[in-house]
Amino acid sequence: MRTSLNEIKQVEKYLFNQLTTEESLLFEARMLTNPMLRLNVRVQEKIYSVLRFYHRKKLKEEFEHIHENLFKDPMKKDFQKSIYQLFKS
Amino acid sequence: MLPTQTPEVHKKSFEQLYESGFPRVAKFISKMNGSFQDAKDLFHDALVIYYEKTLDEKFTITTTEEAYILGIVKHLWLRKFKHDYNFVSLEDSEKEIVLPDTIDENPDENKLLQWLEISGKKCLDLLRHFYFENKTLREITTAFGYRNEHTASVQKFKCLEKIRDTIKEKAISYEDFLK
Repeated sequence: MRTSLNEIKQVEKYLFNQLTTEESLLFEARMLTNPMLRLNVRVQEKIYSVLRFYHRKKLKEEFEHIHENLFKDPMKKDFQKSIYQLFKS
Repeated sequence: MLPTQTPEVHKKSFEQLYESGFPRVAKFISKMNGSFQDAKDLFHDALVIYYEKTLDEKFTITTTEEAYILGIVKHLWLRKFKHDYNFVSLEDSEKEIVLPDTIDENPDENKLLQWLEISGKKCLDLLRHFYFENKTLREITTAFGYRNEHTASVQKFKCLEKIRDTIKEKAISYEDFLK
């Protein structure tokens, strides 16, 4: 694997707490002297949180779909009625 | 690297969980004078939180999946409407539930995602499967049509690099991406 990809792998291990204490300290020392590495770590951290956000969005689309199907399925009339009844005021 | 699935949790499909779990949640929300829409929204949020918890191989539950999800909903309700914790009675097993600190939508992330969805959808999807789906490397390799598992895992890091570099480039004009 290319050096740049190995660095990304290393950053991932650092962010996921998969480095040994020694490796982690060494990595932090490198960050102190290397502003580009610091920026890369920050951006990579951001990517993981965007990915989580993206995955949540996809999951919710799936739930929306399940909800729609469940509430329009003629076979599930009793189910629908029992829920709607709860919200009659 | 990939989280493995524990046998006790997340056995049911989302369809099954929806049908078995939603009625209790709806009942609770209606008791709290919430709306049908509140019930639906909080149930969806709770399913997401529950799903993410199941990605952790150390995660176990002592109740049923449905009861656990109702517990999450109670916490969400209390949090959302700033209700008094004495007002809603929580079972002992529910008191142990901890909500993730990342559940609020972040406008920056939303903006960044919208932009990445245009410029790098394929990488986003690949990475999402790597980190957030209960899939093995082999399954991902097949699903995305890579030659072998090595190629797939190299591609993962290539995608991270690609997205990283586009964000860095973009950050020059939109500094708030990196807040």
